Amino acid sequence: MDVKKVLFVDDSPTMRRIMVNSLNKIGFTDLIEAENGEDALEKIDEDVELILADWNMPEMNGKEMVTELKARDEYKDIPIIMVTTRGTKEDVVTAVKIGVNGYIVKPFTPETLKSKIKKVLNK
Amino acid sequence: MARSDHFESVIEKIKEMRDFLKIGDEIVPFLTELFSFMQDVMPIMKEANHSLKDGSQRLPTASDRIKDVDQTTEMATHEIMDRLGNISDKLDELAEGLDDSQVEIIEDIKEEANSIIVSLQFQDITAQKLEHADRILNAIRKKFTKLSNRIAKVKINSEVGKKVMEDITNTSDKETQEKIEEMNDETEDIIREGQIDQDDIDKLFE
Repeated sequence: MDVKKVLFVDDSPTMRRIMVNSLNKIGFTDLIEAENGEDALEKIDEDVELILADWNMPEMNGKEMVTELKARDEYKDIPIIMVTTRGTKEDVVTAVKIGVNGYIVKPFTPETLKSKIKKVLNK
Repeated sequence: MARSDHFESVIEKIKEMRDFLKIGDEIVPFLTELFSFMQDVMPIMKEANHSLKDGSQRLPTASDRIKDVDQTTEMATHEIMDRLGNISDKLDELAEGLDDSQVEIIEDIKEEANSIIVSLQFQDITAQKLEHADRILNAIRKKFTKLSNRIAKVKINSEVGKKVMEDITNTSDKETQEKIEEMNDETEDIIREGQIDQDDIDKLFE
């Protein structure tokens, strides 16, 4: 998988560290970390080719962030995978409706992460 | 004619009194029931008032404890990840100069260490559940405080009302004091503030 930059958004420092570890293992080393939606909107740039986002976050949650990104021409086509503890059908349907491209429920395995990323990037 | 008018007026008055007494017949049982209801409700209202005040004071402590748990588990999780990272680095050093089969074993061990890191996701999941519990506590606390303030602002326009409110808000009676003690026992802190370290504990045994 040839991806330049991944933006990862989660308010939990533990999760950010685990995600960095997991992404490094599958070959993604150019990473931007953000603590919440607002932080992500400040840190994102046009080189980002994939976004992994938590849902429950303070300041601006994942759903709000995705909605905002989809409204901006420069970022609306970046694939987004939600990585969250929210796993009901309603949650997933909501995510699909706002334009999310993939959905992973925590806890996840590195293999799940890799296969979901591959699936989303190959579309 | 005048006498007949007077007589009519007396009959009218008697009718009014009879109607009045009829209403009284209907009201008295109702008032008796109402009084009985108030007698039943009074102890509950008294306890509710005390619980509202007491509860709204204890909830911030509960909330702080939840935050403590979150911070403590986060710190411990990061320490575990640091140590696993160190193990992984040492294994890399160890792998230098080893043959393929030995390197394979080293890689397996590193993979196990990595699996431990991945399973530490529990800390985030637990933190979110605790945060939810904390929000519930805070919502309850706000409700308690609001209700408690409303009781304090109840306007008393009668002597009876004044006595009822005095009774509800008085917590110095024996029964209420026993309930306070019971609540204190149930919510006593297991890990208390001001804990001493092991050296100081050992000194007490010398």
